[in-house]
Amino acid sequence: MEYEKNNAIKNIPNQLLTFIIGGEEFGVDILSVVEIRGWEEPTAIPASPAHVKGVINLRGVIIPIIDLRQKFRMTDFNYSSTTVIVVLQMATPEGKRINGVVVDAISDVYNINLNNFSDTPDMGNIHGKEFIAGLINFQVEDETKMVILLDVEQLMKKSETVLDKSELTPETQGE
Amino acid sequence: MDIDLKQFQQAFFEESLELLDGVEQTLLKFDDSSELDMESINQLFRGMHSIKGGSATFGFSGIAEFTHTAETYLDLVRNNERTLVKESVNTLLQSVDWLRQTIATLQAEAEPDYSSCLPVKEEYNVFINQGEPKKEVSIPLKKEAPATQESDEIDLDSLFDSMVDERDGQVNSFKNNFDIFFKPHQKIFYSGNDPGRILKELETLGEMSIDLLESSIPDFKNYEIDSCNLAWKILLKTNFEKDDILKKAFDWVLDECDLTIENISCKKETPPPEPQVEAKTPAPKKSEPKKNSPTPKDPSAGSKEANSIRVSTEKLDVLINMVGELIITQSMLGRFENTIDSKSTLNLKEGLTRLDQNCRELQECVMRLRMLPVSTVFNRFPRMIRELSAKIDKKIQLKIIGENTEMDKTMLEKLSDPLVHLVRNSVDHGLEAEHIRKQNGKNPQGTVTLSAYHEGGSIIVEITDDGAGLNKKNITKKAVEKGLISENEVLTDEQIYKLIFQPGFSTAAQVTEVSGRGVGMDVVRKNIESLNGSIEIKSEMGVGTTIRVQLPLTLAILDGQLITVGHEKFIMPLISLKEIISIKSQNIYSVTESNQMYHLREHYIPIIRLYELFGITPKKTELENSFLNIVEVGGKLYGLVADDLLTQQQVVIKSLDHNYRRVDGVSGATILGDGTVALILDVSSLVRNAVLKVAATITSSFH
Repeated sequence: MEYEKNNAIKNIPNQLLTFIIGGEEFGVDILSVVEIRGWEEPTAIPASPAHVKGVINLRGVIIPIIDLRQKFRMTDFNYSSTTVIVVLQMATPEGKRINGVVVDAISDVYNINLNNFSDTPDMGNIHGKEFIAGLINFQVEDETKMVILLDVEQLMKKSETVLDKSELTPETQGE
Repeated sequence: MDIDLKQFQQAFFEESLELLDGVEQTLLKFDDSSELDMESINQLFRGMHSIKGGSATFGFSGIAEFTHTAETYLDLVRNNERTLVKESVNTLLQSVDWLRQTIATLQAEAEPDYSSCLPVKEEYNVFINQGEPKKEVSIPLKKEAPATQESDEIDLDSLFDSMVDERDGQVNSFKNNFDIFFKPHQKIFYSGNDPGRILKELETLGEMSIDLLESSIPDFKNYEIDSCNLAWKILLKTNFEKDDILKKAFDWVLDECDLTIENISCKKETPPPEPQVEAKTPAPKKSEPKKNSPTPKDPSAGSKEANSIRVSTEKLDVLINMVGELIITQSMLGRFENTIDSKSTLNLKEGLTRLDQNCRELQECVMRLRMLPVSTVFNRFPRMIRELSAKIDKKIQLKIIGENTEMDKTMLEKLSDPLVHLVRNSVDHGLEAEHIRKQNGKNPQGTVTLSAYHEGGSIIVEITDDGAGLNKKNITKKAVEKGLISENEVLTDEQIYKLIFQPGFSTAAQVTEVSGRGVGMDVVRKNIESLNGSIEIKSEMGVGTTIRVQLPLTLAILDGQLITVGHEKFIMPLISLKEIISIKSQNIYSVTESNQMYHLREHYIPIIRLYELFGITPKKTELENSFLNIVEVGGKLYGLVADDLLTQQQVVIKSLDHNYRRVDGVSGATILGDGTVALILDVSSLVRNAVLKVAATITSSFH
């Protein structure tokens, strides 16, 4: 029986940059990546959600840094020598919006095309679901890889920067 | 219209508005006693002419027609056939208004009402015809003009000039009279040429009469549709030369036709204005040597514009950001300068010092890129005063001092409205009626002075009037009436004057069309404060009032005090800071557990612990030897606790909102000398939040 290809993802990117967060491989459209920076301690912002670590200076522009490991409620994370910040950009009516995302390590760049792309399974109920656009399965040489595609637009939405009551943990802010 | 043209369209709008400003300025110089010199009149003509040309290029025929009328009149003036009078100056001023409005509408991509200019057009016609009603022969813009774009540059000057020549009976003798024989070859259609178009083009060059020569037309049986068998004999009266005709009309078909052009002009006696008209007719070819008026696209309103280039503010901002980063990098290097002491690295030291100098200069230059002279805003006031003076029947003289003082472009734009309001106030409330002034031995003509100058690190803008001054008694009375102060409160003069900034406050007995509603001063103050500025009033009854606005040099720069709270650094804006003191515990009084006051001289100042507001672990919770930053919000004093004080410095304000969002208690962020980010405190919202919190704890403690 043929199952219909489930195209839950709106825009399947041609090229993916993937990185590791909490042992899982995540990816974004490479066109939304501005640069990759080494980890630097950001300046904390008062009354921000736990996953917003603070802001840093990117060549004269102030950008917020988001730690997705915290958003996905992953338990074991630290800032090591491979920890990097992936700087993402997105066009909005008000101009370009730039955010940085903390990841454990950078993985690879993959080309996606219709040949190696297969359908996307359902997600189920996980933390941080709103940041995930879907799952991409594709062929790399002989094996099938699964990469979790991040929804960059959702990440940068202003509503995401407002404190969620369930996340109110004053101790984790600005030490 | 494709994308390319749209870009140029925007440039055309901007240039036209600039030209209109120049025209308006010149017109205002005219009054009963001083006439305008020829150069000024030429400037007026050129302004209208340029706008006409540009608007026709983009297809704004409504504007083109209107400016053509104005230009016609101005042409007569510059040829000394008409003289400017007050009424015509008013008409010209009204034209400027209409054009500005229409351009604004077009910029907003809406459809302007072109018929609204008809009354003004009528006025022009009266001036042009010197009172004799003449039938307005409306000649529609030749729609063929764009079509010839492909074959040659549009020369709208000649297009319109020939129309003027036709309409205006005065100039109807052309220089040249040509007898043209034009017979296209049979295959002319094959090359995409259309003799009909060529003939129409000829028609635009002057007065034409045309005869069809039918001898070559074959009979019906043999007729081939796509072969041309026509010929024409054309008599053309024009001011153009033969070469011009060849170029304009026949350029494309020279080798596909039989063409003879013979100049058969008869010598008519040319009336005196003629040679002037000729010389002044804008050159049909760009190569004409004796050009005394610039090409249509040249914005020649002010000669100082000659060497300028338009740059988008976005590009400037990127440049400013990069220079900021350069300074930080350079200062990081500069820190190592002290650790270098070996002789061989003397050059390195020297290099670093020179680098430091270069960077500072570069930064200064770049910051100045966004600066414009205040005259751009001050220049609307002569016109405004002129109209106000007529409306409320007071004689007013406007003095402008320091109009070349420069200010950041964005600040200038935001300052414009408050200034207008303040000047209106001076005129309406400050200056007394003529008879009262005479009674008091004052000059019946009131004077309003606008001045701008640099002082320290700020720009000061002052509005002074020699009117009646602020009436302290009236103000206090009104304030008591409105419940703003109690009856027996004793206030200093300054405090009394500050009362007029309260919303809804006005001591005007009547609301006039100009002011009195009590809305303005509150908004003025808010606007000025949003520019990180301050406003002060000095007044003396019977003598006059001075309103002093102090603004930082640019919006982007702030004088701040760097403080630490726990491990975090913050910037406290100096403008909000009244005093900083080292806390001594014996001066602390506790009203409730969480509500403490500090006793300073005669004040009891509520203590706000910043670390609590921000959720930061402080270095210590004991207040002894911490620093109390005393600020004033809403007329009351509050104290913000900081662990340590660092340097006082000028910081560049960066937006937090652009990539993140607005944060309560924080007005922005800045990048410190070491490249890290520090948040800039928004004192008023901090205090508000603290007050709300205290109120909440008080109510909760009662439950």
